[in-house]
Amino acid sequence: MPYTVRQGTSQHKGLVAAASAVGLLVLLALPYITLPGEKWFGNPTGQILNWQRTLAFAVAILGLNLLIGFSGQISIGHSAFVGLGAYSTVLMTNNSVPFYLALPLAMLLCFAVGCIVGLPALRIKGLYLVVVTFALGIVFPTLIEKYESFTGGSNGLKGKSSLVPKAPFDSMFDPRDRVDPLRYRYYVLLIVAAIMFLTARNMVRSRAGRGLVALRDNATAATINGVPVPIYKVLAFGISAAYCGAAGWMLMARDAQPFASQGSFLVDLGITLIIGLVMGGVATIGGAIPGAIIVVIVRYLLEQLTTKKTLLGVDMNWLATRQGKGGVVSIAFGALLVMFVFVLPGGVMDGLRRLRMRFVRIIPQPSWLKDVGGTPPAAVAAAEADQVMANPLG
Amino acid sequence: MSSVESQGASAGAPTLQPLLEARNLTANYGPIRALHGIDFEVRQGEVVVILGANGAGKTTTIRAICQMVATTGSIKLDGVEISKKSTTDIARSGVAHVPQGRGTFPDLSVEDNLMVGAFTRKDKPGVQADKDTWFSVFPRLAERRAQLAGSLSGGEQQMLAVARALMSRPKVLLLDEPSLGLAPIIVQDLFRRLGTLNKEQGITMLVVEQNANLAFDIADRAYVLEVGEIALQGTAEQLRSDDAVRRAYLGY
Amino acid sequence: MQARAEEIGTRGLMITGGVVVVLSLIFILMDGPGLFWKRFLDGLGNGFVYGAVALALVLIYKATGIINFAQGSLAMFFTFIAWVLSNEQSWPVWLAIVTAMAASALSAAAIERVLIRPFDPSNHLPITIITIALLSVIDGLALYIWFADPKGFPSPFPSTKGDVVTIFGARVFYAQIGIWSTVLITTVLLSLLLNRTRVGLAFRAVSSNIESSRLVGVHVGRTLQFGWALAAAIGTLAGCLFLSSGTTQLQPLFMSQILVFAFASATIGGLDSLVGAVVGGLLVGQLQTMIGGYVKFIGSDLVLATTLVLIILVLLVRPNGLFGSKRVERV
Repeated sequence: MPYTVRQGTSQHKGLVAAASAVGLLVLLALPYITLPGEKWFGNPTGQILNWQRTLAFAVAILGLNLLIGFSGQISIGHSAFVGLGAYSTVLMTNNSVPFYLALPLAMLLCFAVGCIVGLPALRIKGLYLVVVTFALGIVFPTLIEKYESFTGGSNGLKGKSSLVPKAPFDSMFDPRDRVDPLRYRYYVLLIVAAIMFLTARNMVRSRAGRGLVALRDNATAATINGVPVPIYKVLAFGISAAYCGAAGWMLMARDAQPFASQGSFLVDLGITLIIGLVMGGVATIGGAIPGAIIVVIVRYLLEQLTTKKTLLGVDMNWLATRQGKGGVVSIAFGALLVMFVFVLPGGVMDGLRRLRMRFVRIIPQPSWLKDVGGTPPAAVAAAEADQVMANPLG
Repeated sequence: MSSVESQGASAGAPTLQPLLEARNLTANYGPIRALHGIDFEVRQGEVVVILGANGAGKTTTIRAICQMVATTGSIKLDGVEISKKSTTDIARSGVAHVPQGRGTFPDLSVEDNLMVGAFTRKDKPGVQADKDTWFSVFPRLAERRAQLAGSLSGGEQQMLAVARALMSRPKVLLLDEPSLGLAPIIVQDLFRRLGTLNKEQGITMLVVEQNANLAFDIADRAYVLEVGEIALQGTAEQLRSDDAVRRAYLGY
Repeated sequence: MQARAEEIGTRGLMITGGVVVVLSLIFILMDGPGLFWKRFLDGLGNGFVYGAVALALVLIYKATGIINFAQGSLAMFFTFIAWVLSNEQSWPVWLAIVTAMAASALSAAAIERVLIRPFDPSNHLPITIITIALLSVIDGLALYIWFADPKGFPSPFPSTKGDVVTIFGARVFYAQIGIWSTVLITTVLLSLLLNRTRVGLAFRAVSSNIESSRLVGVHVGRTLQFGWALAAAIGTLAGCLFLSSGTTQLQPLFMSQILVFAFASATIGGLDSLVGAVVGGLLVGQLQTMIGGYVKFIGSDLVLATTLVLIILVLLVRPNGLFGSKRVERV
């Protein structure tokens, strides 16, 4: 039954192109599709806002994946970098910095801070990064409180400008004619996310990327083979911080009235990112997307659930009126995470891959291997192992 | 040294069934098969040696007995099937395994290493007595009794590992390449002691080795493993004088 | 081969001692000895609590090599249980605390059996993820059951206004002394347990070499389970003690800050040293109080951040912590 395809052939390329085209179409059409069931998914505007949020989370999870998946170091405090990106964006745009420029600047800032935080890791071994990132996540909200004059403290920081459609280069094409601001912002975020994903993919496939994987699997062997381990550790940290900063920018860019509040950047955001990462698939690029969908959309649905008075005829008022109902989401996600670790440790990406393998098997055809006739069974077995980088969750 | 005796050393009548017996034993590392259905046995009071080049499957065989790799086939200890038991239960059944690289507890003192070796025993005075005995057999260990095992030299760690294994008064002692990484003069001393332990106390041993010369000195019987299969078997004398063995493993 | 732990320990002590003495002299010169002494005593309370939680973290880390992210949440949850028992059921406070500790031990044992043991102990990532999941579930559960508004926690020690003793001019409540001595006694008992009992030997063996432990007949799973239970009980005790000092109120996230300081304490102490955990905790407690008191331009919001920066500095000087042993990795 499985249809075998050799990598690099026109068949293979055709399949990839078709799949990509479908994916692209869905992404482009999304703001114009309204999911049925307003009670659950929200009104059309709310839905688009949720997709925007998903894109931002996907970028953040991607950054975290670069750190954990490829250097093996875990961090539950990257919420601090998302927050840093968000707050710096608002601060900059409130001071006449063009919104688009705020993105690279915020990323640069986060990269710098990330590298500084990661620098002691050159000397301090073991769990330093784990501890310090956790500490960072906890400290960040207190820093917001402390510098109230800057950050608005617990009242939050209002942005005075937002991302608005502009006519580029005085041309005939004026976005304001085609899309409304909300959808415009969605497309901007989509483009930003696409750039981040493509960059990540190229980084991973590059020499540097392979160095990071080597680092994760065996630091000693990596060092012997000339991989500058400590530098890569620090870089991995900086890059992941930059990605989270970009996500922070995206969260601010999506609103007509950007508003940064410390309550959105607590450690539980960091934990949420980890949950999304694992469920999407550790050490995968694409896993950030399903991961983000789960933590944003499923969370939204769960929150809706806690507001419903009845569910399929069952009385749910006890939940809707309970003071501590916010805990339900945490419990559900924790339980979901446990299920994933037991049943599908490779995350959604692994599940999709297995599903795909029932229908299509891709046989690796490395460029250095001359055209081999037939399909050696070893190659087919290798194909199964090759598709995703070795999963540290095993 | 009569206070330390291996179980069964006082058996009067010759036992008919071997102490340790493997039939059609295979072992796999994931999809890779390392042992292709081998048979071997170790009888009470014997020293059996398994020889072979690197990668032949010697260590795998020892690990297979302790269920540290996935196996099929039968392994019996004193007539009882152990191939489905856990490593811990097998150890509690009287199999003492000295792994490759000694396997000492580096953060525990020499004394604690010995005490943990006797973990499964309930007779405190007996354990004390054995400990004192091993300290007198290996005076170097006695000198360093409070020292952390990780700071001992390779040879000392090997002595410690053997003593630790024997603290449990095992039915059979498994040794995985005891000569690995040790200076020749230490290895000679080690094998001499192993031979003495076997002769004087009847401790049954299965030794896996690359260093064939010294191994043959203490062995009663031997097997030669090649690529996961038994190529030769026989008494130590037979194999020692075999041309192929001499050329391949004895170097002359 | 490892460097001897004793050597590192002595050097660590000497360096710490040196720095502590110098700083103390500076502080005494600044505001006088009386205030210094008072602040020192204040810092002890927190320090012992951080040390206790750090003990729990180090226990699990030594045995399994993983950081238990759920440590704080477990402690918090069962502190709530103790509160329920003593407040709503009117149990004597001590009994409530001990019962909560026992309950936490049983729960942790169950968690280890069901959620942790199925995994290969050498594969750290999935087990760490499980502890993160547990954190989420337990925090959510606590929020759901008890809501977010703060509650008071009674002290197990005599603690009316008059229960004070004066030491060298500073007023110290019995309750404070109670906290110090409880943690000290716990540390001593733990040390005895690990070094003089069979269970403790098994635990140390598993911490040192899992595979060889199996080969001598130690039940690795059960031993680890015991470690988890112990760590949970100690964490619960620490949580209850911390609240009884009155510095914070009981609410679902009260352990988070403590957890950060506990992590820091454990790291400073050298992650595989129990003594180091407690000493690290005391050090961090002092750092926190002294910075809060002496370095005036740093408001209370920044104490957390500053203390952490200082801890990083300490670690830069002694990367393995004050008492940690340097392991040479064999390739």
